Amino acid sequence: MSSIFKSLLDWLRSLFFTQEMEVTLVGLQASGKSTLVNVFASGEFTEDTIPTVGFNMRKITKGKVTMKLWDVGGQPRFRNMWERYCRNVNAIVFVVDSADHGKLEAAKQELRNLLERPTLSNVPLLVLGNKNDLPNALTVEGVIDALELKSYSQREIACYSVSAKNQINIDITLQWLTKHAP
Amino acid sequence: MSFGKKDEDAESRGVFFDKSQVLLETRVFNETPLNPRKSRLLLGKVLTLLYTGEHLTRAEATDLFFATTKLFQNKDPGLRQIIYLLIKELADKADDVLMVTSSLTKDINAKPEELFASPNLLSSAAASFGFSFGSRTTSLSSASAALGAGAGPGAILGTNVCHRANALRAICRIMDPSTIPAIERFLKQAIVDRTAAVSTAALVSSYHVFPVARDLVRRWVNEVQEALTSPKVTSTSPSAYLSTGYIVQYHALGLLYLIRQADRMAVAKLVQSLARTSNVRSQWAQCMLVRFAVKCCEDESASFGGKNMVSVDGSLSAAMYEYLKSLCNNNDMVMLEAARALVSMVNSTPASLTATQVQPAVTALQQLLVSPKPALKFAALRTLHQLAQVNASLVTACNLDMEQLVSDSNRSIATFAITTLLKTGTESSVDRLMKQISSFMSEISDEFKVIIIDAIRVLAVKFPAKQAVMLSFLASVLRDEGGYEYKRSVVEAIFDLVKVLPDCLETALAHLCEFIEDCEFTKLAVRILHLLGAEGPKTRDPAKYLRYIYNRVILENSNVRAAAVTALAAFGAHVDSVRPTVRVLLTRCLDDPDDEVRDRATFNLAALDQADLRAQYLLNDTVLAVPTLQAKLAHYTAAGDFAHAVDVAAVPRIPKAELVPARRRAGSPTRGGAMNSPMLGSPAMRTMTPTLGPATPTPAAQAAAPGGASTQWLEKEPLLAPLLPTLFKSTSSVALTDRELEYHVSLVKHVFRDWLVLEIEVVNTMPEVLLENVAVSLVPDTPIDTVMKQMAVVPIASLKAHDPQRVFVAFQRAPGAVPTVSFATKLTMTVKDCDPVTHVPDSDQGYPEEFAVEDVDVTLADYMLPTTVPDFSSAWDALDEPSQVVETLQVPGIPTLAVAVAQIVDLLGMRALEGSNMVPAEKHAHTLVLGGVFLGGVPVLVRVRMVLDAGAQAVAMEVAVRAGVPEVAQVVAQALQG
Repeated sequence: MSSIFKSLLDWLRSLFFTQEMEVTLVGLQASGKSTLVNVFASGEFTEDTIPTVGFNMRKITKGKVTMKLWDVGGQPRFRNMWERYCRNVNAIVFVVDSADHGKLEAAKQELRNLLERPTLSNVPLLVLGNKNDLPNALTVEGVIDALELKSYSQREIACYSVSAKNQINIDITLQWLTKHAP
Repeated sequence: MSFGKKDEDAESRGVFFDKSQVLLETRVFNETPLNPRKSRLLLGKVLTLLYTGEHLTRAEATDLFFATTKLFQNKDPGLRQIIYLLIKELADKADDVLMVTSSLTKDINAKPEELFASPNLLSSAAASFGFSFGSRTTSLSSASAALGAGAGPGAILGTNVCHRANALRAICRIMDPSTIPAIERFLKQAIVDRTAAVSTAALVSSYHVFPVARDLVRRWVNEVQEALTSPKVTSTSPSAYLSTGYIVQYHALGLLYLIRQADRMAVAKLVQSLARTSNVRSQWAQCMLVRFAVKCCEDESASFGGKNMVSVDGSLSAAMYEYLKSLCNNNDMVMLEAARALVSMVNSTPASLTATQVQPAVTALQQLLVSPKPALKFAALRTLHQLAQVNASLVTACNLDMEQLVSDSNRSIATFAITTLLKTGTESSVDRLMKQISSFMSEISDEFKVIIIDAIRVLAVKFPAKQAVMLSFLASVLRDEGGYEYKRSVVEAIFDLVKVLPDCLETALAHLCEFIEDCEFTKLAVRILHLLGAEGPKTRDPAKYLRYIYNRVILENSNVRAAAVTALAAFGAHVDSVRPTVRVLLTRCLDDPDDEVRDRATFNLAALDQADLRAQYLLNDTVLAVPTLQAKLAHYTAAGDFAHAVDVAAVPRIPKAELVPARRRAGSPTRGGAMNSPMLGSPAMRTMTPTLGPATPTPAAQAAAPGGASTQWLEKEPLLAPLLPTLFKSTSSVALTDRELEYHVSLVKHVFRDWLVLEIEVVNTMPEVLLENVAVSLVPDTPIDTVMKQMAVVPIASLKAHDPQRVFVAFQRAPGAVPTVSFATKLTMTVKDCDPVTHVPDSDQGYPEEFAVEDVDVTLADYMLPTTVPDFSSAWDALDEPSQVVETLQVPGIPTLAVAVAQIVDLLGMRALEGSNMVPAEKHAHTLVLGGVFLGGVPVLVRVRMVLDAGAQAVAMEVAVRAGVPEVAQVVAQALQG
């Protein structure tokens, strides 16, 4: 009974007080974007995520903020379409696999290409160094250096080291995101 | 006028939207929060634009596509389903459509327990069906339904199911061959899904995917079979959707057939097993099954040489026939389909059903005739009409019902009823029918009138005794108001009457003369004048037509005047008594303002005065066969050897009359079943209407063409192309194998002055093998070394599946030799297994194979071109008496003279002259005269007198052959003895 009442209350609240925001997740393939979205939405870690062909959209509600999460595939053939999904969003989340050192160079390059687009000049960026549960994962500083984040002076950039598997720093990530609701 | 037109435009266009405006508005898709209702309406507008043929550039489409993807996963069901529609439309217009793969996959795999009711289901279901039948109009209407959706009555299915189905259909459109394997698992699952909508969507999508991913879809046979045999009902509620119950079966059957199509045995097995059980519940599936059954029967009877397989116990056709018969008391649609199937089996003449066998179909159709639904009545009538074309007596049982339909308020039904009755009616009912028609003619449009006139034309020929009634009817309708097509059909009907029934010539000409006195159609006037010129001189008092014709010279435009001049000249040439009058009239035409008229008058005056010119130009009614002449001249100029003149003697002649009608009528529009040629009539009628063959040129005319087959492949063969200037004849293509064998082989014989080239076309029907070094081995049944030597074989280097290629075998003949021989023939080749798609052989190792085909016969007919002569008896006398060879023969085992005539014509490859190939049914003696051009341009004439001994089923004949060269006469006479 109480749950029904609560959901009704939630619904009423959502009618009047919710803020909607859009967030786009990009990053190389197998960096953990879809898994992160699942963790954001349900708090559960799933092992066997299949590669995203194209994009997926999830809507999640955190407190009084409803987030539309655009999770765009990271395979090379989809990378030139990232920009289309990053236009007009409230925040871009760039996910890197902090344990895969070989791909960091490519990730840096793709991030640079993306941020150079004039349409995205004012969008805040959150860089997530994922998979920090793995033994040789970089630290936050390591990720910042590897992606040369300091070189972007004009933009609001944050960087966290997270783990979808162990749910480390997921809460602060969500906090950062809800803070950027319009 | 312009007002009305505008209205029409607006109606056909529906609502008008401006493309750029609509595309600009798609910005709302980026708004947060999204307005589903607004977005849906906008997408509806976009769809309307696309469906009405608006063109989007690649960039516009891509932008639109990506804008639309922003709308994904919306809770609003109406919006969601219109997105699927749009994706399907944009699938081939926009780039990067693969972008939605993951999202669609997610929709497909949505868990069924998320079911919830939706108000918009009706429109989405309609939309999905619109796609499944691929029809523009349906999708258009469903799109507009979706536009206005939102207030539909209660839900039948969960939205979720609907989304799954729609997503399936959409995903199959965006896939290409490389990405389909990724979704194979989902499709397979969906085919056996327990919800009909999903299963159907998967089946229909697989059907569309089949052309690009043949082998993949083939692997789903088990799933499709399961969908077919475990029927699901779409809905249990008594709604409009009830009729779609078991629709899955329909789609599953369609897909299964598509998969097995190439394998005739498998199709036969499928049809047979389904026909035996009563598992097929869907009416549509049943109708489709009926069609497959018919196809199976056709295939079977074709491979058994056109026997009536139904009467053969245990054959496939017999089983199919029982099945079709059992369907004749099913629901309307199935009943009609089964009846149509049975009727069509009557049509395929060689394997036709007997009257009793087709009886169930007639009974079924009779029931439909009294149905309250106009569509059913019409369909039943149409089928009966088809049957009446073949065998009118079978339909007489329905005459009473059809007579009631003559007064039907639906004009199409009434007209059809009349035309069918005209076919089935007896001589006694003609008067009554004609009376009914006369009262009816003024109420119907020209198109219907034309159909009726055509029917009357056939009837008039059928009942010569009634020609007076018919003719006066035709004459009276000729006086009525009407358009060109209508008048043309009336005039043509009269023309046919004149040709077939010489008795009515004078009356008919009188009616036509009266008509051209006030005829607004130049074309018709010209044709009537031509007919007057051709037939008028044969009448008792030719002089009276001169006045009518000369009136045209005074009153009409230049085209008609020119035709009138020619007609006058024809009178002058044929009738000595009027020649002075004609000369006076033609002299007056010399002052005509028009060039053509003056020229014709001058020419004809000159020709009239000299007897030899008259015979050559005005009385000669044969022309060179133009196609042969054309081919000959083309080769002559290509060869570049102008030392010798073109050998015109080798070009056959054909009667003028034969070329013109064939061309004219081929150009005339055919009007559905009603206009079917009278040639299809009963056998009795056929012998009576030799000149009534509208749709197809007569076989003789075809044979006079350079041959059925062209020389285009020969021209591409460097070894053989130099021979072309000496080409005498190419035969038409003959199959050397049955259709169901793995290789299809057919033969064309090219006869040259000194050479004989066999062009053997081979088609490999098996995609998984590659044939290399395909050659032909020919073993003659009698030694031919002295007269003919095989000089060259051009083999096929490599033969892929379904890519016809040709082997050429060239023989050089001894000068003057015309050997007739039969070759035992087989193909020799190296077979290699290969990839069915790329045709790359799996390994270099192949194995040799031989493949025997039917014997290749070289007969006398191959050295002969059919031709015609203006006048047989004078041509016969002109050829030397000494060259004549006379043989008397006694040929047993021939039931009628018509059979004997056909055999002789076939054997000699000559042309029957003066209509002597038509044997009146009850006569026992007949004279057949034939004309031909033998190799080297030697004219040949043959006269065969024959007497039938009906009791002994034997024909005694006396064959006389005359030819320009005595040896040729010998050869021809010998050929007949065989």
